[in-house]
Amino acid sequence: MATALTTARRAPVTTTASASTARFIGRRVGRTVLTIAISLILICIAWQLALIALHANPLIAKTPLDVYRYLFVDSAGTPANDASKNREVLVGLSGETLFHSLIGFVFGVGGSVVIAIAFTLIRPLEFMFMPIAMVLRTVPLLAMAPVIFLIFGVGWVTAAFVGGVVVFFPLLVNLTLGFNSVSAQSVDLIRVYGGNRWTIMRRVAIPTALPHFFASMRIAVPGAITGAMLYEWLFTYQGLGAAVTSAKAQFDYGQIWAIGVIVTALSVLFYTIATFVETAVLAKWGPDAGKAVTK
Amino acid sequence: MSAFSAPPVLKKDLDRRAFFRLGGTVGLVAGTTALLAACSTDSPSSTSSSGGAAAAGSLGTIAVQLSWIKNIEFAGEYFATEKGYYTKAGFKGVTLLAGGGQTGAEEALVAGQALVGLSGPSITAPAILKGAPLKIIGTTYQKNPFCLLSLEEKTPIKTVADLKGKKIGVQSGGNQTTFEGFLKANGLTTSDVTLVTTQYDIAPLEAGKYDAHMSYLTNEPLLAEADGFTPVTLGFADNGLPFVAETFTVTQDTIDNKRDTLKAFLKAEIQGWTDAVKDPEQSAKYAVEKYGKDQDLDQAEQVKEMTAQNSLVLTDDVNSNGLFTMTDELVSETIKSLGDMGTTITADKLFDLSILKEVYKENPDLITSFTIPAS
Repeated sequence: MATALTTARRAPVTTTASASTARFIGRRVGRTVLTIAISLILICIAWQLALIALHANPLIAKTPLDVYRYLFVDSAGTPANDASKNREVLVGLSGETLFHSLIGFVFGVGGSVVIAIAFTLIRPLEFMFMPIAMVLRTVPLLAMAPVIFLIFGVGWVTAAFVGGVVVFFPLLVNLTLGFNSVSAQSVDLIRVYGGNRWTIMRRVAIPTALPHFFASMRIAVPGAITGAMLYEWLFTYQGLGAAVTSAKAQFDYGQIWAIGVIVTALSVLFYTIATFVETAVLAKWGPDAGKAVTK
Repeated sequence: MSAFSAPPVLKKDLDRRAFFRLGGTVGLVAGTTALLAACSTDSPSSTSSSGGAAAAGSLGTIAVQLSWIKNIEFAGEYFATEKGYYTKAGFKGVTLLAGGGQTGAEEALVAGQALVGLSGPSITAPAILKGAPLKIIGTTYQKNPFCLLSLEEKTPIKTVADLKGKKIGVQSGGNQTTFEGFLKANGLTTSDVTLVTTQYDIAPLEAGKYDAHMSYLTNEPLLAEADGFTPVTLGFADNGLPFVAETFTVTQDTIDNKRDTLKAFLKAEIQGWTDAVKDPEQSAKYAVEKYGKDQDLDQAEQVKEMTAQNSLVLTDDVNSNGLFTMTDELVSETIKSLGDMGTTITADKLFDLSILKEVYKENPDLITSFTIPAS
């Protein structure tokens, strides 16, 4: 009887909550787009002014307008510009880079989650292996490149490794910190009911660590793109990373600056998506998720 | 119910996040832009040499952008400095700017950081097509030094025919373009070989990760030899892709307004290189003990490199026309090779050899007959 009553009372509440969540998300998207538009305009102005103030050579230092022309305006003069071809090339290259970013992201995030859980459950592991993780992070990848090539060759394993290294470390540190910041009372409660370490991890530590996870996710998203370009530059002829080198050899500064803009735009885009996911997930499963109900 | 529809905690959180999001976005974009700017920002011109009569020091101080780190490749420049040829020509001083980083001669020239740059037509020609007002006024190497290095102990590649189906390590960027030109000049395509991206280290070649490594004739083969291997080389210049390298590149503005400065410079360079090719030991000594001191160079290795380099600098044509000169045939070969590398340009847009011609006309005694080393 009591159960039936609770269910009946709960149902309408849930729909209202999800409707308001939808409103929230709608408002957030709108506000985000506006924020980005304003910062974009400010950046373009600062970019243009900086080049003017520094008397940068126009052949090398391209302005926002130059990048726009490179991408959207055809010209037959010298040097000729075929905008649609430029766009086609860059879209293809961006696709390759995004694919490599995804590989690095998945492996970096996956690896760090698994290892952070292992570090938390078996404490000595953290003291044993954290220094190794730090070595991976501090030794320049450029210096390790020949070794990585000799061990892994060229392919998705190397992409996963290079992208992973860039993404892995900040995530590992943040997650370990998150898992360790569970409240003593919650741990006691679970222990009293006979729960083991794994139960604590599942019921308390993971929700507690979620904000930490998402905070490092915001670092990981642009990091994965950087890692992918690094991989492409060091090991392949593919994607935006390698294109920068060949564009440099061809004195194609239009392309180099366009790549800069694209990489920035992609980073901002995925960073924003990460914050949306963060809001949605934390609202439902975060450590404060239940608190709104009690108020 | 009202408590569910507008959770106050969440709302406050949202505002704070929105603030961070703005900060994060601006930070991200600004960071990337700053990085980009740092890579390519160039301060305005600072060279201030005046033309005119070549009285002592009257030509001021000029900067020369080298194409690589200060090793034996610039032996002639070291001699010109040490023997006072630059000062005798009227310069107060000539600053040699080390290369090998991300800044090439073309960038240094258009940004006004150097008056003369050492580069190659495969880099200068695309820059000209993009609107950079540059010209090549002479060349140190009559033959480009590019080659495929393979090892007798592993998979020797002696002829173009041996190349089919092999795994080739090529550095991305300029070298990749050059290699594709080499394939094209020999009627091959990238599908006839397997291209592998590599850096400048030959360790992967020695470990057998690929069969050949794109190299400089003057450099990597000697390194392989030092590691106990028997190097096998397939030179591009002798196999369908002849073009000059280590060229003197200047802006059109310098040609138009500082012709005398360039003539004085070329004269000093000719004198410096004449001494250098005749004396590999002393050339190496300058590189090892003075100019490239921080590069930890090896004297014996540098002597070998100088000897190898001489076979690129000296030809029968050089003996009759003088150092740095280019015959019409060499000019047209270079233009054709550039075409194979995907750069279509005409000789008059890329070269202005008239300054060098005037130098030799005014100083016919600068033409020296050298002993050409067997390559």
